[in-house]
Amino acid sequence: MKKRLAWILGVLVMCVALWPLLRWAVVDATLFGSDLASCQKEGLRNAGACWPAVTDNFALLMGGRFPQDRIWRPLLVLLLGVASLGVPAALRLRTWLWLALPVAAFPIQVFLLSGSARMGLKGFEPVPTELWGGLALTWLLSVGAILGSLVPGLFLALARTSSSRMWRIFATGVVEVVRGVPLITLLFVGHFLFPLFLPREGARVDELLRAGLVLSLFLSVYSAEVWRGGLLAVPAGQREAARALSLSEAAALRFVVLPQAARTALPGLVFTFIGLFKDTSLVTIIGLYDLLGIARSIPRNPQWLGVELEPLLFAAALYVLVGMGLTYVGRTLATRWSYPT
Amino acid sequence: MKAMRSKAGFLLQFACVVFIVALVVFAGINASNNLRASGSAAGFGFLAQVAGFDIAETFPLPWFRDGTLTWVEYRSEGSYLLALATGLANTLKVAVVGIVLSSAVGVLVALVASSKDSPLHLPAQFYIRIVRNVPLLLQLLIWYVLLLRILPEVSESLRVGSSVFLNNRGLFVPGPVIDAVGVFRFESPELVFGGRNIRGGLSLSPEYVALVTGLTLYTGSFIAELVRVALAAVPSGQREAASALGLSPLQSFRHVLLPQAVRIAVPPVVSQYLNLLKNSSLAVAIGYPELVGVGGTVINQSGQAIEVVLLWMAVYLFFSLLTSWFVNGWNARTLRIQGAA
Repeated sequence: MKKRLAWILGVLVMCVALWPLLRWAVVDATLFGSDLASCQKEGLRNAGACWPAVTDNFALLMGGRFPQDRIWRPLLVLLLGVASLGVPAALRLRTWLWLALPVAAFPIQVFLLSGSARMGLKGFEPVPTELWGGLALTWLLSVGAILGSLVPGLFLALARTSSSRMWRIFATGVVEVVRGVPLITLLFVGHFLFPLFLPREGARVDELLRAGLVLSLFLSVYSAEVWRGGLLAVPAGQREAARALSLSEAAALRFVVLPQAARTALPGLVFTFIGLFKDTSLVTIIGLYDLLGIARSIPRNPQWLGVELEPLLFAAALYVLVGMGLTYVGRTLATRWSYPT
Repeated sequence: MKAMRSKAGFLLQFACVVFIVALVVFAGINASNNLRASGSAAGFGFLAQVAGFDIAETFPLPWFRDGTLTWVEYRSEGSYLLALATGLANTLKVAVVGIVLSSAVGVLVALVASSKDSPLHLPAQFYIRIVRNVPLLLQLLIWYVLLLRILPEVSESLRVGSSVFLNNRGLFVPGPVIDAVGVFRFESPELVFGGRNIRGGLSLSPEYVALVTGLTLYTGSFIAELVRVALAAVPSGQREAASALGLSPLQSFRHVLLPQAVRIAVPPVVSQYLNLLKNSSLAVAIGYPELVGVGGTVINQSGQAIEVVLLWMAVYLFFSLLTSWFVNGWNARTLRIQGAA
């Protein structure tokens, strides 16, 4: 009873606290329309939100500045992404499929966006990466960084727990440096410095690819720490017993240590990956048009001049929505894979 | 057999070292070629040159000028080094205030939300969920846009007492100012020109206010969770024992629960402080001139990207090492106390 009363009071407190926001976003807002004029009365912006800035730019927010006649490609990419995560969860498929489907979907998604000139299909012409954007780009960057970090992350963790001093020093150095600096400085390394380190003629690495590599490195280092926790949690006797049974060092690692470490590490890994989904928004600062970049660019459009808050709030809602979906999938996955207790 | 394997391991290590060294040399040669082509000289000599750009928010810094230590405030004819030092001072200005405020928010939220019978439990949970799931960069942008929109004109400033003003030019508080001859004075801001302008005191820009608000609420949500967990981790027997000894609830909180919870919470909370410091670099997106923002301008002006990135990394790594040194010391000390008990 007391708990229910507290809950009701809590809802009341929230309603009172959020009332100005609610009034702005719903009561006083313009919900439908196609341009700034529909949000104006006698030349003045009305007091509420101007949601047409979001609805009219919906395709832009989803697919970025992709050519209008080919916008179905980024939309299909998003659909594939949702399906590759949602179908295994909804149909309760086998656990490995939960990971395998998003992994398998990734090259298809990249191919969908990049297109191909050779296939001669209408609407499937190549599109340069500068025009990729929106939620589709955020999604691709996240999945790409996760895929790119799987092997280096495990490798760094193994190197850091290895018996060889050189490997330990190398891995500790990489991990501590990358963890010690803000992600944005690493992105600037990719943005400003990476081109400097390449030969002057010929070699040019795509800005998007550079950002993806930096995000992979960043994620590798953070997941290496999770892996390390998992490796350290496996009792030393396990490896020793495997060695005593005449398994080679590699076989002991592969068949005895790693499976146990993976079970401990998996929940942590999943939540590190979900955290990265938010961190991809930093690529906005180096000029990519991910979901946040697009949301920021809308008020610079003369047609929507000054409508700044609405696209940002919509992007925030999308991040929360996708983040909660990922958390749900991640949590289910983590409980399925962890030790039965 | 063993000797052979260690030989193979040694060869592998050797090959890796050769590969890494080759990579570094390759990158170095390319970089020096590229730098020569663009006509800029490598090295930190450029730091003494005149910067020539303005910084919106400056701060008197202790500085050597003509061999004597005086207070110097950056102007556009100052050196690159002074510009970067001002950026660092702005970073610290955010970090120190943000750390104090986010601790207060965190502890407060943890206390009001720890009981499910509290009407504030639900709003606190809502706050924690939302704030953690939205990218910090997006939150900062929302705060900035929101502040610029809702803050009043100077003449209609929001006031606290007679000497704190908040308006669309920023927050004005009493504070130390430095006059032309380099002497500190304590001064309160006052409205002049019939309330249409404001003068004196310490002025904090809207960017600063947005940044501190965003960082405080974001970090506060993480600290709240850590404090809540730490309070829950103190065995319930402790509270019962304290009340059996006749301590009041407040006394048992102050003398029994708090000291034990603090011991658990300090290391993770301190690493949140470090995160706050690193996250303050996102200010570059809203134009607050902290270390990364000023460094970006320096890179664009001077082209000395490598040196500036190295400086960034050195500064952040210094704070990161300081933090881990403190946490290690703290852990050693708590272990000693627990060992002695």
